[in-house]
Amino acid sequence: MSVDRELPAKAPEFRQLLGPLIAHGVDFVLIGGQAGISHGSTYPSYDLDVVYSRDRDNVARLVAALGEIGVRLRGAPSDLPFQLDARTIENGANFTFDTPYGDLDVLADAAGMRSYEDLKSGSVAREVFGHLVRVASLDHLIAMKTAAGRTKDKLMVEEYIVIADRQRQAPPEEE
Amino acid sequence: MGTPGQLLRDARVRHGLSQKQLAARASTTQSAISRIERDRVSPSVETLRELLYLLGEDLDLGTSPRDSGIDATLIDQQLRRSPTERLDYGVAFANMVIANSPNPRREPYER
Repeated sequence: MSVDRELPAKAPEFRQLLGPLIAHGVDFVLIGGQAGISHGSTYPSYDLDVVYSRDRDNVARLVAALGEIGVRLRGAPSDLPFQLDARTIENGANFTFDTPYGDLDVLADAAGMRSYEDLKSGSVAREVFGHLVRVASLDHLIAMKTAAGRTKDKLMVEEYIVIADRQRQAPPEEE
Repeated sequence: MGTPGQLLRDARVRHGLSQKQLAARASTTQSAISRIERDRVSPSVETLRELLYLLGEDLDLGTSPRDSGIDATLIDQQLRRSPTERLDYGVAFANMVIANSPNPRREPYER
């Protein structure tokens, strides 16, 4: 394991990041480590990952939400111009942002997902910090972590399988 | 458990057959058997079952739970919390790691 991995200044602040996305009606699904934690994972996660619908109206809503949050490209040279508008989002796909509230990754495609519709149809609605958020299913998280394939992803896959087994033994949660 | 190729090779040698002899039994070529045994190709379960059958062996497939080393007591603690409580705990944990890590840390982004 590298000891040089740069960490963010802080873990994500959910209310401040999710609030604008919800308020602007952005169609998105929570994925990644935070989605795993909401299912019961014990692995720490240092950013917030969402997959968004590429629908044109949704992109416009996403742009408005990102503008309200206040984002800049993470790791990009400070003199690299970045215009936050629908065209930029439509010309790209996956964006990793620095925000005043922690790291926010906004993805159109995540390795291991078949389509946004497929991801969303398998997701569960969860109340998270007072917001009803769609969270990727454990099965889809397992597929995405398997596709990512890093050592930490493989460890998470093992844990997610155990969580899924234990949840199946327990009464179902809210859907 | 070894590879399908090792499994086939071990069984063939155990029965004293050459690759050519097994190929003859299976109506295939020696090179096809060789490719399987050297793991150049991965045979289907059915193909492997047939080749082993021709050697007088049955293929038994089984599954068993994997010991992944995951501590289920920690997971059970998490599952007793609500999703928001889990994420709150995760944030606190991540912030503790960030605060105590020797790794470099990015400057906070202020608008």
